[in-house]
Amino acid sequence: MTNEEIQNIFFLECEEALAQAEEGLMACRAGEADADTVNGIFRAVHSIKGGAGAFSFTLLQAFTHKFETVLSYVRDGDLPLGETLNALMLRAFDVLADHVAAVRGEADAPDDAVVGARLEEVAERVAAGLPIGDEAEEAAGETISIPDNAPADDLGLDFDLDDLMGDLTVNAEEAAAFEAAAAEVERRMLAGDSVEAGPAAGTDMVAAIASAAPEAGGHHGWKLSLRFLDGALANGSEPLLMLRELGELGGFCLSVDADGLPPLDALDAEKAFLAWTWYVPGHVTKGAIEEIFDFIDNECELKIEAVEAPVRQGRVAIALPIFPVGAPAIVAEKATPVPAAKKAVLHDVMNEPVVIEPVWEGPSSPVVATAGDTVPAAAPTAPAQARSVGSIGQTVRVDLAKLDKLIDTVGELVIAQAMMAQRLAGHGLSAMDEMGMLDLLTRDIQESTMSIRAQPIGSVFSRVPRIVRELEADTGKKVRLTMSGEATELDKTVVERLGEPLTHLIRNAVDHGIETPDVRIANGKPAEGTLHLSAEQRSGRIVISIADDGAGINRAVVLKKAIDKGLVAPGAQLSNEEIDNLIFAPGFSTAEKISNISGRGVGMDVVRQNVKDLGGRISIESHPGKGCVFTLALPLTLAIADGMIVTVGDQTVVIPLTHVLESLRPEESDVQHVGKDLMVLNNRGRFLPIVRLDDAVGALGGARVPEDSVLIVVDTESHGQAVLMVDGIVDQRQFVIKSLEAHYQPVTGVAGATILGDGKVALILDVDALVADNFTRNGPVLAAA
Amino acid sequence: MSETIHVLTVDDSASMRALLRAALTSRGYEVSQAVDGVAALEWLDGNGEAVDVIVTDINMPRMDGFRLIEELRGQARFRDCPILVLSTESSDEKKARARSAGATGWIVKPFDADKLDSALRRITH
Repeated sequence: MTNEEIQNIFFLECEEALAQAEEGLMACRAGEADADTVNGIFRAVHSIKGGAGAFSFTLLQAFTHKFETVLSYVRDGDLPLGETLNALMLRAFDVLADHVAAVRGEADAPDDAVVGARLEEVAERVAAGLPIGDEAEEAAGETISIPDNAPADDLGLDFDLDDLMGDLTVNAEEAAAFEAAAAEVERRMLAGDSVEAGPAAGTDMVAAIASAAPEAGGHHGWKLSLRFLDGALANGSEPLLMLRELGELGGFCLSVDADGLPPLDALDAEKAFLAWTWYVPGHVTKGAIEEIFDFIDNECELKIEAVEAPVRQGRVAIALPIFPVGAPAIVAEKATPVPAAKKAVLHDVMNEPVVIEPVWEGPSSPVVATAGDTVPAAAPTAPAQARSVGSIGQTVRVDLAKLDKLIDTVGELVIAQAMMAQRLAGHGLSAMDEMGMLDLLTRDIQESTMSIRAQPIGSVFSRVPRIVRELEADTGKKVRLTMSGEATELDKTVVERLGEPLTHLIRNAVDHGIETPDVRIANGKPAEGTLHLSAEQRSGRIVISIADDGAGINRAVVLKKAIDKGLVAPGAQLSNEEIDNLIFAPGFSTAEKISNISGRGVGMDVVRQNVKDLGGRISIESHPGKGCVFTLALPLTLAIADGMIVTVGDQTVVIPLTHVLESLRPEESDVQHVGKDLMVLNNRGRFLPIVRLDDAVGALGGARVPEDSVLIVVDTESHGQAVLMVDGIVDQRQFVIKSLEAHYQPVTGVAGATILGDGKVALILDVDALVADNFTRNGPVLAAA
Repeated sequence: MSETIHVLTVDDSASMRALLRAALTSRGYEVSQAVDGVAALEWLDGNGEAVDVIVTDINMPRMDGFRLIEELRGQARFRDCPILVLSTESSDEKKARARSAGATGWIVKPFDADKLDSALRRITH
């Protein structure tokens, strides 16, 4: 794994951590925080700090450190949550998010001086036992010097390996001194010298390291050679207890000689077979050791030698769990021969290499050697490896192009399957059960592959709280944001492209929808407005709604604006719904004063276009004085769309269902002719231009009069509603979109192609472009008459 | 010396795990990983005898490093297994807690791979 890949993992983690922190902070603000919430925020910030350090993102690291310090006080109960603190933490969070964006190369590093200083000041006040509050708020305005970095760590020398190894935070000189000192201790220990502080340079370090070296207290230690004789067990002695006592004196096993051990079937449980070599530190007197074996003096061979070199404990103790709880009482009983290959050689403990053999595990475990000259005997087994992989997170990184290729192929599979079904039916062959099963399976595969591309919408929703906070600050309005359905999944591309329209709708809702607190109070509403963002899957589409409890759309103002701008003829009779929808008309802006929030040169028409580009639709439901709901209906994927398959002359074409409002068979009286070529449909009092689809797509043999046709009312971006005249409707179903551009070349009025069940290629219409093109050729048409 | 040291690293951060894995495998260690204390205990339950040394983070969900060390020290077979704490924290109080829980040593993140390597070799011999 390259460093870059690891770094990308860190970025993903940052995203998760930020989401977790934000969720927690919002809970704090809502007064719903408990210990877990605060701990969660702390851990999130802490984990960002850890990674920031590892990847040398010093600015991010420094800021997270300040933030973390304050959070640790909150977590430990030293700093009570309150409005001031919540506001500060949210600001800190926003800066943190900016820092993360900066290290990802998405933005410049933010200016964190003010918030950073404020965090430090709060931390200092808590440390000094002062309250934080308004007086602290005032103090924040003063100049506060910002220390360069975290204070140097005060390290406990007897414990810190950092000190033994040379801490990274110390400078190179100090580090070198540490190394030298450590080497000196090593040398003296190996030479059997005292490691008391001497006059050499780095003396105190030598002493510190020496004191950290285990069991280096005496000048020498004891080497015990021990063999229990048969009588030791026969007379009721318990060798294990004696070994335990040795352990309690600080001794540990160096080796076990199991050569005398017979095969299992020849094993006499009443006899002892093992010989032991132990080390006991020098501060234990020889008498104390002998005392342990007093009782079985005759049944054991004991040799105690003074050894010169201090022996450090480590490897042996790990390799040999000498005293497992509930270990067998009689040594010989459980002892099993250990293959020679599993013998581990311990060097440097004594003057000569010592062979170590693990002797037993717990009562139920087999004997396993910890490490060997060859492959470790206890290498993880297959399930263990699987678990260890799982612990990293059950994810596989796949190139998006590969995934799209798979989705594409599955799309072909669905088509092939449909073709086969049609062919079989055409030949009167009946294999309905099998075909049904195949159909079910292919659809399953299709859904599964689609779901690989799916992402929870939460990644887009997670940006909203910040947007709302900024809007609150800019407008002086109070907004309570609630969200639901964050886990709803939809296509990655849709998720990525949803951010912009969603942001605009949120801005719109706060800027235009929700009233200022005084207006709300005057209208008998709570001062705080509410904004609810929700997502759910409904009949194969994702429905996102943005609901506010603001003023709703002021229809009189909208209509007047629309007339002023020439979008609507004066005196036109429009339904409430039609007036509300005028806000989506190109170039329409309802803001009475140009605010710097929603008025950024992007109108609701662009939002609508964005949504439409994603194969979705946007609708609005406004209740004056009560609020407004924007609803976005989006497809689960961009690779598949709903369409209406229609015939026109010798052609079969697909009309994307997102454009279709209704279809009808007209009466003769419903259609009026305007001029030479143009026909309009009187659709419940509105006159809509009719586009002859056979002409538009160049089909031959289409119906010439509307009365023989089917008229499909479509909704277009640039020209409002229009009518497509076709011969008949064949079917309405999902189809796999193939790019015409990739396989042929772009064609005006055609969005792509698909393969029908009978294997024929059908063009998918680009309704917007088709209608616009038709109008350009035939001249403008009155939108309302 | 040809024997392979088997390290279990316990850290909830995927990037930290990846860094540790890269640093340790390239230096000849066998590396197993767990995402938190609970996962570590579960894994050790079946594979404990394979592990020579444990490197654990402190701040983790479900079960933190302190608890993990205490739990391990309560099990006879891990009573003497070296356990190294690898944490961004560096306060004396935390270190004292780790020490009393039974940690063998403490290294402050960000870690230097060579330093970690020599620390691990030192405490496993």
